[in-house]
Amino acid sequence: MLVEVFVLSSVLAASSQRCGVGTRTFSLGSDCGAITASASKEPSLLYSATIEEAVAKDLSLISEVCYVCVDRADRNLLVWIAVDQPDEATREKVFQKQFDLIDGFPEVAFDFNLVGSRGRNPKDFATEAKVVYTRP
Amino acid sequence: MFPGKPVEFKGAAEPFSEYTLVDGTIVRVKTVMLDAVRLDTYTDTGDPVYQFQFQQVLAIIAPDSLKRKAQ
Repeated sequence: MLVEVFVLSSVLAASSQRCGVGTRTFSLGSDCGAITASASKEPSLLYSATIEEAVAKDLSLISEVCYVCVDRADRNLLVWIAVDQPDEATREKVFQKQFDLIDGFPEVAFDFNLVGSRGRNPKDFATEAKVVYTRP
Repeated sequence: MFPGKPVEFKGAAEPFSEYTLVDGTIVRVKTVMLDAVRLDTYTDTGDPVYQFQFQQVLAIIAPDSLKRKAQ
C-alpha cells in the first residue's frame, strides 16, 4: 500500500507542468492535428485591469487601430476608436470586437464611435476623453 | 524550429470567461489569437503541427470595499 501511494505521488508530481517560457507541443486527437504554443514570458503578477484598460487592450490587437479614447458619462462608457482607413474589412474587425465587449460587459452601456484618424490628434475628435491607447 | 506558412483566420467569437473570487472580485478573461502558422513538419501519426500566438485580455472588477481608501 505504501509503495502504491509513493508511485502514484511520483507520477502525479512528474506529470504536473506549470505554464512557463518556451514552446510546448500538444498532441490532440488524430483528426485534430497538433499545436505548439509559445509563451512569451513567464507567468507573473497580474495587476488589476480596469474595464477601460481591457477595452484598450482588446481593440489595440487590431493593427489598423491608431487610438482608443474613453470617457464616462453617467453610466455610459463612451469609446472612440480611431483607425487609419475605416474600410469595410477594418470596420468588420472593429464591430466584432465591439460585439464581444458588449457581451462581455453587460453591465456597461457602451457608446462606440468609429472614426478615421486621417493624421489627426486624438484630442481633435474626442476633446475631453482620456487616451487609453496610442499605437506605438 | 521548423519553417512554416502563415494561415489566415477570421475571429468568429471571442467570448470572455468569468470567474468570481470569494472576496467578491469578478475576473473576466479571454484569449485572442494573433497569429497562426502551419509548420513544415508532422507528428508521428501524420497530423500537421501548428504554432499559435495568443494574447490575454483581462478585466478585474473589484468591489469598492477592497479598493484603497482615499488618503
